[in-house]
Amino acid sequence: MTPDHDEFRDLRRLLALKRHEQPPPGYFESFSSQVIQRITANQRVRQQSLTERLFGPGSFWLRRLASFQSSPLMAGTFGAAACALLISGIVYSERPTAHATSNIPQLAVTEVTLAPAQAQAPAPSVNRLFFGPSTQVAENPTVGWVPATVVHPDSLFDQIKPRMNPDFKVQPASFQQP
Amino acid sequence: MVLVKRARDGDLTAYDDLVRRYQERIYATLYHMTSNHEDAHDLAQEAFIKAFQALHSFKGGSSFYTWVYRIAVNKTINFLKQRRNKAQLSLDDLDFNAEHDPDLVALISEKTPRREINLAELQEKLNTAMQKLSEPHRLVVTLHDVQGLSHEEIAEIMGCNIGTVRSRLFYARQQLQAYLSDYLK
Repeated sequence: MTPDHDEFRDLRRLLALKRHEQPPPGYFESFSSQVIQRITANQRVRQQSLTERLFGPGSFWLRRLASFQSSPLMAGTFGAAACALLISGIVYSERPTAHATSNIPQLAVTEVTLAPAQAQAPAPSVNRLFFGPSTQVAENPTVGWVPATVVHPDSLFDQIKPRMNPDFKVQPASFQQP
Repeated sequence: MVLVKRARDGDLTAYDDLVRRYQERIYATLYHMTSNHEDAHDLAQEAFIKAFQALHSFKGGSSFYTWVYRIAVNKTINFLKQRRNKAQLSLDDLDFNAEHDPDLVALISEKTPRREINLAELQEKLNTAMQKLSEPHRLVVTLHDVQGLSHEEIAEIMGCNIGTVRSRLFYARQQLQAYLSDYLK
């Protein structure tokens, strides 16, 4: 035993009394569960506070609403801006850009026209006049008016057609008068 | 360390096990620092909650026990600085074994043979004397003389060197001896 220990021997004996101070019986049985409950509650509050910050009382949107109520001019400006945004969105959505058009596969343009009979009028020349050189006109000498189909060589329809049925053939419809 | 890793990943069952493992020692330290059951309860709970929230920053450089201890002690020292001069004792009861503790029996029979000493009174005087010490000195006495931690462990918890721990311990004992001189003669 060192002199230091001898000097404070009685004090250390007295301090031993503190080791006998104990909390109420069963205190530690619920201690850890209380800690866990508080941790869980804190996590819940943190999640709720995020939602409240966005949409709860005093949130950004409610503050804007309150400012609109106090200032009609601000509300009108905001409304006009929202309308302009909406209209411009609609306009732009209906007018695709050149880049977007190039990415869209060309759809088959199928039009039914009334082609005059060969004897009455030079059908090919008329069709070329309207539809250009790639236009093919179905000719049927037996009828006066036959449906003509404009066939685009790169149409999506042409791409799909062989896969559907290789023997698929287009049969022209007849509008012959009975 | 397995429990610590699981708790760090958000496993509350693992953290519950960690709390159970250290709750008594942490509570006791904070109780001896504050001499108030309610304060010790709140501080111990808050320390464990803060430790859970800061678990991602625990790198494993020290033991989890030392790390939690440091959080609890720092929290308590801050609390006591705010509470200064407003200390109110709310002491835990002495257990049944106190009357039969050989150290206490020897002390009472040797030093106060003719005085009718009441253990509860002695407990109050001792706690009042402890509250007169500064927080670092009280902490050293608590950790060493009450809880039996080594100088090295105390140095790690307090973030100082062993020499500082020894000198603080010596000074704190001297102070206590002076405050309690009536009961030690």
